Amino acid sequence: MDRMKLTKDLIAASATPLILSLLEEGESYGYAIMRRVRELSGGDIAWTDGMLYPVLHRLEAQGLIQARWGQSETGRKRKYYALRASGKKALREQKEQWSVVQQTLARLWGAQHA
Amino acid sequence: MRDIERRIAEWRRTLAENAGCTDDVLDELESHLRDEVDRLVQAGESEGRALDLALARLGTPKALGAEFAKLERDRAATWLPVRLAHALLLALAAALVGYCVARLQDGRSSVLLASHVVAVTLGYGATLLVGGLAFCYVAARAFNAPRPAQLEALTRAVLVMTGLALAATLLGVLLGGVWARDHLGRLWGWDPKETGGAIVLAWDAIMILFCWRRPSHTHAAMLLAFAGNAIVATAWLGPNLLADGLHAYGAPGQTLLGFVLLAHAAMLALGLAPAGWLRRAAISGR
Repeated sequence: MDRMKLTKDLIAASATPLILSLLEEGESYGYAIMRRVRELSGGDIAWTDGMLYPVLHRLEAQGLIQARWGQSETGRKRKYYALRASGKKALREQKEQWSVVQQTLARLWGAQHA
Repeated sequence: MRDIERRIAEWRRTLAENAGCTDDVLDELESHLRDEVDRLVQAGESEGRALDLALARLGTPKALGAEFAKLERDRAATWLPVRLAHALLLALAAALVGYCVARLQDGRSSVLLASHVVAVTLGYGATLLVGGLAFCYVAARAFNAPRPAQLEALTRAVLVMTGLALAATLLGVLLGGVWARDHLGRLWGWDPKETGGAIVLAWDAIMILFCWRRPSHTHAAMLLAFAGNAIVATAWLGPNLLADGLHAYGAPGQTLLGFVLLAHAAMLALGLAPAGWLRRAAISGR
């Protein structure tokens, strides 16, 4: 079977809830976020690596996440991101919105397959 | 190893020149690149090949530059009500100057008094326009959560307009004081209108401090702007309702003031509702 490829629009729309949900688990950095998304999606959500950073910076400018420079375990400079209170609130709203989409599609497809 | 370092330095230069990335962004991207190279080398790739693959995955400088440029464009984007508020402020300033020039030419006003009227009205007008933005914000938010670019534009506009309001009101109050010294024999007399002016000044200062120190709290700033409007409306119309005082014109403003304050209380209550509540209500009511 061919590997499923998500459309550009869907990848862009899902980036914010994915990033906020991952940061809800704790502080993280760009590379780890990207690897984790790839791993959780079984490789189906594969961002072009560099495209993640404008999204992170936008979320930071919106006040949803905050960044700090730290060090990796090997002593290399690394930028870490953490969820802010407003980010938690935005995530709750995102969860509600995606649930509505998911439930609606599930009902629709359930009805079609019944 | 030295070859890898040279190539990474070259890549940074290209990104800085072609994509306009700042050092902060370059450091972050380099950190990512090196993490990926390390992983690929551990997986058995040669360093050179690992760097080739990592660079390809990170995206071309052109594509990266386009994404970061979009970010900048969004930041610079201005929300329509913000543009309208700026235009209204300019129109108000032009109308005021025109009105006062006409009065001066007729000999119905002195330069000092005319400047006082222009400055105070412009200052109060700017504070009211910030309140007007709060009306637009609450109304738009009832349908959709505001976009980040809108919030940023709004915060910037509130800061600029409140700054202007503070400066113009301060100038107006000072000019009024000088006129009162020359004509009434005192600089300041805690007349209801003067007291109102002092309260508006204090309010503008509080608003600027809030927006300055809490730039990401646009929602709270917009709710505060309703209080600003209520204060200006009371300072402006309230003294006219009094039986005596410097500005007791006997204007029939009681109903107007009552309506203005009620409308603000209603909008403040709407502003406390969750974003998009009206759209959700419409969807669930269908």
